[in-house]
Amino acid sequence: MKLKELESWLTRCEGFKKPKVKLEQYATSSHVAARMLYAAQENIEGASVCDLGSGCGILSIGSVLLGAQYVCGIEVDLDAINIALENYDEFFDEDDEPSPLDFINAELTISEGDNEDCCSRFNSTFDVVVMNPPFGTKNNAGIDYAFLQRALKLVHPGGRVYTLHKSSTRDFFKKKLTKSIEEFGCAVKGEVLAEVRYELPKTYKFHKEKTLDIAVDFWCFQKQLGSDTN
Amino acid sequence: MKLFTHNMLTSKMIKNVKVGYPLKLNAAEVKVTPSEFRSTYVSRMLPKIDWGVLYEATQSIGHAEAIPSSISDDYEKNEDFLRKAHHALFEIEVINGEMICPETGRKFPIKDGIPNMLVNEDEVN
Repeated sequence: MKLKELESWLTRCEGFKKPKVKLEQYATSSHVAARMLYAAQENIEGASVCDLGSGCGILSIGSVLLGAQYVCGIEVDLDAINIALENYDEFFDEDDEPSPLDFINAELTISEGDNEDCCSRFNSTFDVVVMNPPFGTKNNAGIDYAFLQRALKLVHPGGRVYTLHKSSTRDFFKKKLTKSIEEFGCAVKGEVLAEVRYELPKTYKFHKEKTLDIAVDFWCFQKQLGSDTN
Repeated sequence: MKLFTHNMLTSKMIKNVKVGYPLKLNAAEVKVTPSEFRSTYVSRMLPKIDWGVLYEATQSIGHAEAIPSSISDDYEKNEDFLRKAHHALFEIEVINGEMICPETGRKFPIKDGIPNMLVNEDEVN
């Protein structure tokens, strides 16, 4: 699918109705989502995809549009899942249309190291994780990195994680990559595919400026073959 | 919720639960939606699947005829078998029902196709 076509489809996705500060909810714009998915396209078609922290589902739905065989959105907030399902119905309103998409309402133990959670059997199963994790700017420092650690467990060796992180954390992530076996339990390579200007709309009352323009890196991490310790 | 998803979920996060698998499946409403069959994908996923758990799940939700009780040895070459596996894993969906932790009896509701795996802080390790 062409980038413009994908983006134009994705503009039909609605964002959060009442974003929750605690969960640092902000919708992924169709502009950014389309570029992420477009870059991942050849690995998404016919593959299994996990959208970790799926929110309003734009990355999940985009993965379905690109021909994923199975898409699993994992999200702690049921209100967000319901918006995602409404969004999904915008595209696929016929009951008998193929639906590769499942949502799971769950909180993964992303910040507690090796503790198992309800999705641990999924480890080393997915071909691709696409995600737009919280940036960790509201009393949840480090959650962006914890999402990445969990995502890397979910993909099989050779699998890829496409994700967004604040550009200010780039050096920190690069440092972690140099000791990836000890940090992630497997050898991981990663590169910044693009730097995007990310416009955070004035979603929350505490945002003084009308919009907050921040620099965000679009990363692709790949779990290396023969390095699985899950 | 697809049976593939059920095949993966556990209640291991609950305090003192040793395995938390398989979750017993009770369905009040089941739907079958077609999904594109790709033989290579199904045979790639089968090593991740607990076949006995999948078989038990099909039995418990009224699709007893969906798959044989044991996995075919030559499944990679057996398209008929792969189609059945695909049907059970990706086309049979539980819309409403519940899953039950085998060790604690804790129930996880499934509503509108969404399994609710959330637990309270005092329930986890």
